[in-house]
Amino acid sequence: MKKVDDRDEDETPSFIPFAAFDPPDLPTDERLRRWIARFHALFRRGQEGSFIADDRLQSNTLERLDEVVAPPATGPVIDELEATIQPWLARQPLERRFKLIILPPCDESDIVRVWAEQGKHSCLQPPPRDTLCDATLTLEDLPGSGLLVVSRLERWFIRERGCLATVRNLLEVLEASDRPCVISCNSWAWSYLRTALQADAVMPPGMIFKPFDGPRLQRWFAELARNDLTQGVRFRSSATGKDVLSRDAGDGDGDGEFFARLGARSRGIPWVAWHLWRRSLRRDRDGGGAETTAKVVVEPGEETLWIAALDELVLPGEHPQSALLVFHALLIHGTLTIEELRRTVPAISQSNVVSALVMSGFLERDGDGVRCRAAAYPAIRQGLSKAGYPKDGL
Amino acid sequence: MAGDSGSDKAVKLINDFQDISLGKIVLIVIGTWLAIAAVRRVIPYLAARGPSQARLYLLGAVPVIRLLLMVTAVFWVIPIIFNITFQNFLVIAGAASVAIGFAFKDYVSSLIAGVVAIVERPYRPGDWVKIGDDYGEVISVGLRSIRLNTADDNVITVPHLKLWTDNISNSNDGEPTLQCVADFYVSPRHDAVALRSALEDVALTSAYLDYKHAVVVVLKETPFGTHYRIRAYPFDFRDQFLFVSDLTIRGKDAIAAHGAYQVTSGVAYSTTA
Repeated sequence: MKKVDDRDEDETPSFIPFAAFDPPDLPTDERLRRWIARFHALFRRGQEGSFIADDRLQSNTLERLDEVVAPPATGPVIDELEATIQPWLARQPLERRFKLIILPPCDESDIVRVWAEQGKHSCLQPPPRDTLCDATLTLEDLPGSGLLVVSRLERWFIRERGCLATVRNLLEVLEASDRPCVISCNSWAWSYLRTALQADAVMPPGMIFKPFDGPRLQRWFAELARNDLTQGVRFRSSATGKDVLSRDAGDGDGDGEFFARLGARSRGIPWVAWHLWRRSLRRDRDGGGAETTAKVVVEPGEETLWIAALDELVLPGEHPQSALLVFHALLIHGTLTIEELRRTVPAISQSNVVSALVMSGFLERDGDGVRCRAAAYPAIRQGLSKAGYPKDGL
Repeated sequence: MAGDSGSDKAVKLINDFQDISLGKIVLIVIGTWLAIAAVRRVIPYLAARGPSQARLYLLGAVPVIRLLLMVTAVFWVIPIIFNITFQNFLVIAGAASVAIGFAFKDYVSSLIAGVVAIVERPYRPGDWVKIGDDYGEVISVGLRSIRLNTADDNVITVPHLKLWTDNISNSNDGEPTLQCVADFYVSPRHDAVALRSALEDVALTSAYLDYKHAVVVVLKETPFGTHYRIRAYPFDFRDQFLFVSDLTIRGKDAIAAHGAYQVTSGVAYSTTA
């Protein structure tokens, strides 16, 4: 394991081909524990409690978490995107006019749009969802000149009869235009569009960031925690008392195993890891290191944030089919209002499954709509995979 | 003397009563029965809760394991009761042939068909099959018969004997999905290209669609109208009726939205008749 501030890459890494994305593996002992937990879940009856213990997080205020693990959850991805696009744009003439960026779901900050705004690139906005099915795009509607950015291709369609025409129309217009174009799409939506509409016939192979494995996460979180508001803060494992982000010679190189586990559980997705990391931080209510059995020397003036063991998030063994249909629709579309969900998932029309999923922590409100929680994504993906649903290619 | 010799041979067919361990036989029978009962409960339980990819493999293993257990028990018990020699084997086989030929012909034929079904696998637990007029999911494959659970939740017992005489239509044949078909009969005056495309979108936008399989919409002209068929696959065959219902509801909408109107099946069938 390398030290936190060691860099094996001085240059910002660029994106890699989508097909080459290989989520980090769990350590062997952790994998064994996970198999045992899943086997145990086979014999667990009914819905035994919620899968995320929210009450354990109450000791850390949101404000303090925002100071020590500041949003956005994008990490260095925006810089890496820039490092990917600029060399491509600089190479004239362009080999292919399109650059397809495929990102995992639960990206709350719309990374590609943020990058486009930073670079002052023209961004093509999707039509509002309520008029999406009737929208028609022409070449004259394309904004600005030069590089055109279409962020969130999933916002250009809704899985409803008559609403695929808009995304077909968009692809035709982009094809007819002679402008270079960066298109981003959620991996689940791309999996759908690729097979249902053969969208990959007009697009190049997709690109994605390098998976965020243990060392990458450790570096990123160390940088996040390095600011004026976190002077004297130590992040200690509640199991070992070890300072996981230590840069002191005495403490070795931090707790690489914790971050290896975090990277594997988050499937190499930075925003999922970011949410799991925030959820794992605890403040000692008694102020005396009561949450750990390890003997830890706490220096005067030091504030310790304890890192609890990562919960094994699994869907309850018996989950209604309608819940899985809702998860699947939300992973494809991102955020949907209840009305839009009813249009795309007819099975839920008479049920209160959405409210139940929000209450149990799998979904969260996003304006008028709902979306999958990033922290719940590994469990949701696992549940859909187990039930045989079509997945993304990650 | 000749009579004594014949009596000796008959006695030797079965071991001496004091040599037959009844306790051992009872233990073998009970042990086998318990093992089979456990297999029949635990494996379907695990199949229902485990990964869907493993479901059909697990369910398909039940009759095979049960057959192995029963064969093992039979071969274990026979030497305890019978004095196995070639001569005795011929005597037992002859007697059994007469009994089977007169009394248990159909029963034994079903048993043999059951063994053939386990080997050839025209149906497995979890498959959706049509035998005669009965269509349903195979919930168990016994030695004599199979049990089908129909869409109306009726359990039908079908003897393996049907294997010799009837065609067996297996919709998924061990795969986790199967092709579903939604039929529409539409009055001929309409834009067929547009409607075909709309019906394709109906399938492509279904929440149940396994979009790894192609969606096909075929049509043909019939004397009473245009017959459209949407052929598509749900990702789980247990959703097949919900899937077809979803296609039908939204297909009707699509037909109405294109200014066409459906010919009712009653008209269609009476015309074909």
